[in-house]
Amino acid sequence: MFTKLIRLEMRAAARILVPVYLAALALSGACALAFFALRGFGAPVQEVNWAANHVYIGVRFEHAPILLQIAAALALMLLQLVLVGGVAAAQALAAVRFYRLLGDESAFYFALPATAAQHLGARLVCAVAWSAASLAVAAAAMGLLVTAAVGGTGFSLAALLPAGWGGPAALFLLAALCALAYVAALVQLSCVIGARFERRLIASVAAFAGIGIATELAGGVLAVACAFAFAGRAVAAPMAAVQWVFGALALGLAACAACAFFAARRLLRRRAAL
Amino acid sequence: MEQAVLACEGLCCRYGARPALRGVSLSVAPGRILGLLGPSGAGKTTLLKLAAGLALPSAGTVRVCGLAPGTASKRAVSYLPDAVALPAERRAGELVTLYAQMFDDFDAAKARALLAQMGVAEDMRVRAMSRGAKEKTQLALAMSRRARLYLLDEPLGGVDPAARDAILAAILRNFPEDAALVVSTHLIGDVEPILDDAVFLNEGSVLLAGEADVLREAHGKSLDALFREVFACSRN
Amino acid sequence: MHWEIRPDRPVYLQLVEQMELAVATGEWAPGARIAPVRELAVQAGVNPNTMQRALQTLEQRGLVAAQRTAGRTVTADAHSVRLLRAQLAQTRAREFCRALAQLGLSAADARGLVELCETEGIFDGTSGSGL
Repeated sequence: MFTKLIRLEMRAAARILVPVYLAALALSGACALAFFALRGFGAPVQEVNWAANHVYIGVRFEHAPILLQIAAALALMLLQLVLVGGVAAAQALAAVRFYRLLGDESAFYFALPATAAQHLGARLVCAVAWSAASLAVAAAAMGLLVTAAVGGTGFSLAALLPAGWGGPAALFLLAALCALAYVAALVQLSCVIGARFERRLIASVAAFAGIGIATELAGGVLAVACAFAFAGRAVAAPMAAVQWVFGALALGLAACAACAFFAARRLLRRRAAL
Repeated sequence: MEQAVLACEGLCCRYGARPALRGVSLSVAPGRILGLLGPSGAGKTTLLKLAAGLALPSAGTVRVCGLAPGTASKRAVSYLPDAVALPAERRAGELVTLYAQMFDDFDAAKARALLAQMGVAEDMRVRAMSRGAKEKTQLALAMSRRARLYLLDEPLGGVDPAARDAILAAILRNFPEDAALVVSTHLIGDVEPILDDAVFLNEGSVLLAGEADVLREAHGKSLDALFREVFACSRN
Repeated sequence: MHWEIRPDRPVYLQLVEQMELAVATGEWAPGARIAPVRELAVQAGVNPNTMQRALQTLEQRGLVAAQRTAGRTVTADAHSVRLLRAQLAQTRAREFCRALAQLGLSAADARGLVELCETEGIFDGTSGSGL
């Protein structure tokens, strides 16, 4: 039953998200072509600035007609919107679907021979999977653009990064996935809490905001505490320390997600024979 | 003595402070059609939801084929909800596929045949269907499962008289002999002829129960007329 | 076959009556195959269990025979059918006479009325739907 539910959710989300992804890739393809055309007017000027707290990597096409430059810039902004939207869309879609599940559609879903854990788990897995897919599509689109803009000119992103960045990057990704899982689990818990009230939508949103803010505050307090604890201590291997931080973050978020999951399961089982 | 397909003992259920069922006891044997008759708010939908495992009782027990409502009992129960629980953007044909994927005992060919018989086009989206067409679709899906207990909540609601005949015929033709069927409705007159047994429900309590023909003979009137009489009395 | 099921009397009795009438009038021909219980139930708009009970009663009265593999058939025994027809006719006649008696008419009046119907062609089937 679990796999059946997953398949159902994946297909339902695919109908909406796949066209969005295809549009995003098409748009980035168009932008890439535009950049390629712009290169025809002369090699791009590369800029790399290490500022106090961020890295700026830019590419300027100085010799191309101004209209083309503007068009390229606009297309790029639109693309960024779509890509960020992709991740948000995956989470929002999962949220809307779960909210509807607890409404009229509950008569269909809860009559299925599946447990609360299976319902929640299947939807959680799908929410995270599609969010990850959105990230992958975003990465692919960016890669396409970067290649079109500076490919073959000896420009290497990897050379800019500090040594041993692989570990922290992987753990960062893991932490990001755990964050997505936590958000999805929190959405589920909020909807289940909201379902006990007359004004379901308001109650669900309030629960989400409430618990979300509480976790952020708790996380913030924890971060500040750690900062004080480790302040002033020389860090021998900065990359290892960063790995520890990301690893701890991933673990913490995963634990929060698990708590939200089990809480939602318990509340669901009080609602119906699941 | 064959095990009852549905057995309720002192079943109580409340929504917050409001009691929906007050100590209902009944049992349905295999092969029987039970009518759960009463006005809106009598507790009929609540009773069916409890049997389908969509709600939990506050007291008493409900057993489906001897099992408490849960994953196992849901495999043996086909539930037709009162409201339309179908995803609005899907087509009728897609719903048949969906049900076939989710339920092992679903007969897709039968469902398509039923839809055709009742005049529902398979390529129609749920949100574009009339109320009657939605009811017919839900019914076709519910009756195409090979379940032991069919729970039909107001299958005739919001449907014109000609369509009602089609729906009743579909119900009679398609429920297996070893299964039991519980129909809840406030349209007592329409459903009467097909009932084996009847339970009159009002404000969460059972007013009267028995075999349909026995009740008719004993009181010399139709179940519809009998209910009005009993209902009027219970209000005083 | 036209089924007329009213909700205010036990459905089972009505089914028995209407099926007996069908046998007596020959609408269900002697020896003819009867549709399966479920089909009949759907046609009449009644519960299959009730239809089953009604058919069993007809079996007990010898009007219908159950073949082991081939379902049910109407009895081919002409004598039983004649007997049934006579019973139904007597019941109807009694109802007719009671109705006339209630109106204050005598047996002679009744005979006169029967002859009137004859001249109107009711017994030949040449009159209209009958008034």
